[in-house]
Amino acid sequence: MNVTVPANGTSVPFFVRGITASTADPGVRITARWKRLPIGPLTTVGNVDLMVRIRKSAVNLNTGERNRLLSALAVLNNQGLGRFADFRDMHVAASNLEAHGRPGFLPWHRAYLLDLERELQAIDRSVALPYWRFDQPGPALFTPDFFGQGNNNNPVVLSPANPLLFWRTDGVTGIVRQPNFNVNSAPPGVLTQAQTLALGTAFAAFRTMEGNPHAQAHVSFSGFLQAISQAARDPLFFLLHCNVDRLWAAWQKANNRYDVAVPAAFDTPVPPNPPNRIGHNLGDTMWPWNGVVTPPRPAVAPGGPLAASACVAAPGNTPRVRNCFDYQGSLATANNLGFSYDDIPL
Amino acid sequence: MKKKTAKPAEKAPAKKTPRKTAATPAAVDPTPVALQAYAGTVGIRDSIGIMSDQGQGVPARLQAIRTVQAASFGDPDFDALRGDYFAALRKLSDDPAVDVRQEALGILAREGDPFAEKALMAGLLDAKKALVPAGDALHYLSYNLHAGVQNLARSIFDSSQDQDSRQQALRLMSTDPASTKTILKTLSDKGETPAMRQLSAAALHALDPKAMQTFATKAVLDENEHSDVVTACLTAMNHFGDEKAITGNTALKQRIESLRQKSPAKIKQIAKKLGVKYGF
Repeated sequence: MNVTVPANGTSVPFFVRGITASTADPGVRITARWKRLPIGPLTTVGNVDLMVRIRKSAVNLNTGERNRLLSALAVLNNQGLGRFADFRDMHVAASNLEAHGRPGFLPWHRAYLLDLERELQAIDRSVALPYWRFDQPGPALFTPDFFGQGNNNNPVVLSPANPLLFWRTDGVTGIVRQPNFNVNSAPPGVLTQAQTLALGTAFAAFRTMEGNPHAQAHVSFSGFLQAISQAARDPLFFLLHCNVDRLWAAWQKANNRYDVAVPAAFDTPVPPNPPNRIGHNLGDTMWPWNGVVTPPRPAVAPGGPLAASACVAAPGNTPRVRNCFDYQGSLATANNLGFSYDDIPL
Repeated sequence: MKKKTAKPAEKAPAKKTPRKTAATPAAVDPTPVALQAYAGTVGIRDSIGIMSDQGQGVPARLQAIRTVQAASFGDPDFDALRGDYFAALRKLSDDPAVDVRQEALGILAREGDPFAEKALMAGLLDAKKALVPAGDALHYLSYNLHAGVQNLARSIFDSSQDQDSRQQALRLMSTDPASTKTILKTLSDKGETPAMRQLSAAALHALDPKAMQTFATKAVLDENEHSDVVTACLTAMNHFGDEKAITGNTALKQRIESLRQKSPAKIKQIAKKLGVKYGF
């Protein structure tokens, strides 16, 4: 692809999108060439190698990708003083009903992850949120150089070179997480991907995955992850939920459930049944991005509007539930949320 | 940077279906569909029974607790049994099986349960009343900080020989500006374990980032400093360092340059990153 840029230095944004994702790092080379018009030799003046951002399995990240992710997380946390505090405060007991136990569980968490990922990308634009395949062994994840090694009731053991060493939430230093399983295998009792995708072809059946594998994966640990009110204090939480979101994406792909006009794509009560709780209907805006702090919403809305993307306009800064389905813009380009998974084709 | 917003009232969603207000019965949350994937084949109530039954094996009881805890993640049946679950957990706080006791206290503490917090504080004040070792009690109390615990933490840190208790105490002290001096002293003490000193580095960074950067400079320049402490200090400089202070310190720049050439692999790697970041 060739892009002509003006000689006065004005920026020209461009985006490259493929049919299948490149998982290489770097996977794309941008070459700047200069030519004096109308004729003159074409001279290469520089190259930049980039990675195409894609959500990968965390155990497949190379060292550079891993370190950039950890650095971005540490900077976002900034000893508990950074923007991460908003993300921690979005997922607390008071916001439980906004995000859990109802049809909006999956859309809400999709927006939540996207917001976090965009903030990470504002720190390091090469970062994409990876996922933790909780139905597969992932020992590389639970090491001092990555998300830390369990240490009973003490904070996880981290390498002194790991910037998560300075992780701090709610004023307290450290990440508390002790696996209740052997990390050389997958946590027992957690539904496999195949079992999850077989829960049903209608969203009402599929969303029972909030219990298993989602909640089962949470309670595979003692520590922050084991309770809704504390879970977001652990950065692994976002990788766990990235896998939950990936499972939804895989289910959407398998059953063609991108179009909210298709009843089986969501769980909308049929009249005369009452609608879902507010925040869980397709047309509802979602807290906290809508800033609404009157009952039945929580009394505060941390973080403000959802972070914008340099690449796509969706889902907007005040997303509605319906904005979270066509995440790859399969139905309309304008719906594209600007993320993709390495093992789910477009 | 985003700002917290507070809109006064919710706008009606742009949809055709009319929505009733919160004051009307229709706005009451309907019972969600039965989510059979939550508690599996064992119901929540049955699991509460198993976890409380000392005749059951410890693994079965722990599994039962985790089954109910999983249900707390949005299971529509959980709310009605929440009171029973917490009452059962409180009874388990002095269970003869230590694993069950710890699991129960951990869950209660994460939820900020006043009964558990009071019992844990009482155990720290009087060892005869302790339900769990002091380190575990401090750990549980760190989930939801409240008055008095930091003073206790300082006292335990100064008097205890148990490294777990001291580490947990130090975590709690990292929330207390009055502990800054003690934390700096611990970080500087080469007689402390590297793990304790790393934790002190994180704690000091949280309480007084400038003091941490000053210490980091000193530690990096100290050729006899433990490599883990030097690595942690370089990590702090790389992510949170003051560019002006680092680039303006000739001795520090020279030292980092020498670490880039000759040092253990991890130090060399961070020293290289620092060189790239700060341009030397």
